[in-house]
Amino acid sequence: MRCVIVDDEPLALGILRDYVSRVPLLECVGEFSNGLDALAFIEQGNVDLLFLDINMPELTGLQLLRSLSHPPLVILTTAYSEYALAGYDLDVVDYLLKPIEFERFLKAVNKAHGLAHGAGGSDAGDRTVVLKSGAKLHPVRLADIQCAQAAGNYVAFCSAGKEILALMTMKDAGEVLSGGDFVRVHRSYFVNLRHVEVIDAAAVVVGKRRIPIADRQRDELIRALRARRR
Amino acid sequence: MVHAGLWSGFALLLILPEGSRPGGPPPWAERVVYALGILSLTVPPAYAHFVLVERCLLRGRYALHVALLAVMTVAWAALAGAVFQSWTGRQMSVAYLAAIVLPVVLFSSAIKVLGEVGRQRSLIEEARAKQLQAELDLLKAQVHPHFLFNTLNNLFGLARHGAPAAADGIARLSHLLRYMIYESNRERVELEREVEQIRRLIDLEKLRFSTTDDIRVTLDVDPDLSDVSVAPMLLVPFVENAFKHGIRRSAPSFVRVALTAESRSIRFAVENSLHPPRAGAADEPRGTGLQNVRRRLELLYPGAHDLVVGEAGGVFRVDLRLDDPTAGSGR
Repeated sequence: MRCVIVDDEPLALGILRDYVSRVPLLECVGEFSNGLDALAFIEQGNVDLLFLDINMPELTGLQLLRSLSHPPLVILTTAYSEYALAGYDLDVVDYLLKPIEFERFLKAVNKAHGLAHGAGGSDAGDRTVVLKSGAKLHPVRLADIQCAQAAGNYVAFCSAGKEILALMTMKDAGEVLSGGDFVRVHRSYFVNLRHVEVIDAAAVVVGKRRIPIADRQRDELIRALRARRR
Repeated sequence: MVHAGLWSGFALLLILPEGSRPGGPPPWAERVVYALGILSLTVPPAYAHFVLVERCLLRGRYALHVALLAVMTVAWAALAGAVFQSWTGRQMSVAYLAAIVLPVVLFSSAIKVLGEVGRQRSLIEEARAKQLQAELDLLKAQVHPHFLFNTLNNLFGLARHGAPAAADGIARLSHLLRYMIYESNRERVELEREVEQIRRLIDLEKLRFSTTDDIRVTLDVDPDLSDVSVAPMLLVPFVENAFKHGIRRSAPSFVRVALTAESRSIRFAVENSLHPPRAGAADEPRGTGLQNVRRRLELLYPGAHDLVVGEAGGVFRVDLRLDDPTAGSGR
């Protein structure tokens, strides 16, 4: 995704520039320290994602947002609290609160990428997400992930060849996997419908893993499989 | 309304009771007249006595109170006796009438005073909450969030390459501060948000001891907390308290935190190692740090929580159960 960063503070801009350069899904096509220059650039088109600081002199992020005729996807970056902005009812992908940690940044990017590829659209299940495990980043196609399992403070994403352990909650994992063909079959498991091999009385087999499953979830899983075949 | 209810109750008590009296029970009409008689005998002095309570008793004029009460009772009984005699022609002694008036007057005032005390207490509670809110507002006014968090962000940016651990610490501290100062006055937050702060707090606390210290900290959280909300800063203080009292660098120490969610309730358990009190330490009874949160629980989740605090075998344990934490009385 082609993205633009707008922030009036150089260190803040530097952090985002570095983050963007680390994520393979993103390409930085412009960075601006004031809203007016950014406005002119974005209006020319060809921008998919905007990282926008709110509090800037001259033109604030919110004013810039309102001035755009065809706004791209927007991730607000702010020193305020999310709560302080709740009243504005802005059509944005996410709010990043400063200081922005990389894991949180990545979560917002995956969300934006999912929206850009029309969650629920035909290619949604094929899109790529980026997972961070330790210091390493792993771009993975959603279609290749067989299941995701809660493991303490981590979630393990399993695909045929490997297992990626990422620091996040199951709720975060649900957001990462949204738009794919995933069903939560257990409080600690998501499975990918594309990889379901066997369903028996007590478990579902995905890849080489047997995942315990309760009756209600089994019925739900079978319903989801039927709906997908249709 | 409350008064009318209580007096009607009293009247009913007068009308209904008594089974067999020699000569059979008096007819209903007679009983109602009797009850009305007693009511008109006792209600006026009861309300007069409320005034006495307010003017004398509650202002510490006890002797004056007793004297006025005695005068009032006797005078009223005498008056009632005179009225009774002029209506029925029968005599009734002042002492007998006073013996009816006095207990009712005292009992009704006792109810009144108890209600008053309860109201005062809740006023004090409210004033205390307002005081806390005012202090928080003052802090907010002095530390402008825009300055604070942009500065912390810049420090984060500077530290990121040279000292990544410092950068992590700055980020965690920033988010914890933001939560404590700017979000703690919300009615409810997602339980996962509260847990996020507990993680940050634990990470920051860990910076305080070295890897060679025998200190173990565990956090065991149910993977599925979705859809549950809770009053903010309700669980964090228990963990703060556990670190404050449970961790001693000179001795093996531990803090264990566990949170499980069932369909309509959550259970939160915090354990820490107990240590002998430090020499020269303030003589502070254990668990006083929990008084604030105990009071908040009573205000926010009356009748919907169960807090058990205890120690056994060198372990201090706090066990909290919250029923339907998303609801509660704070809405």
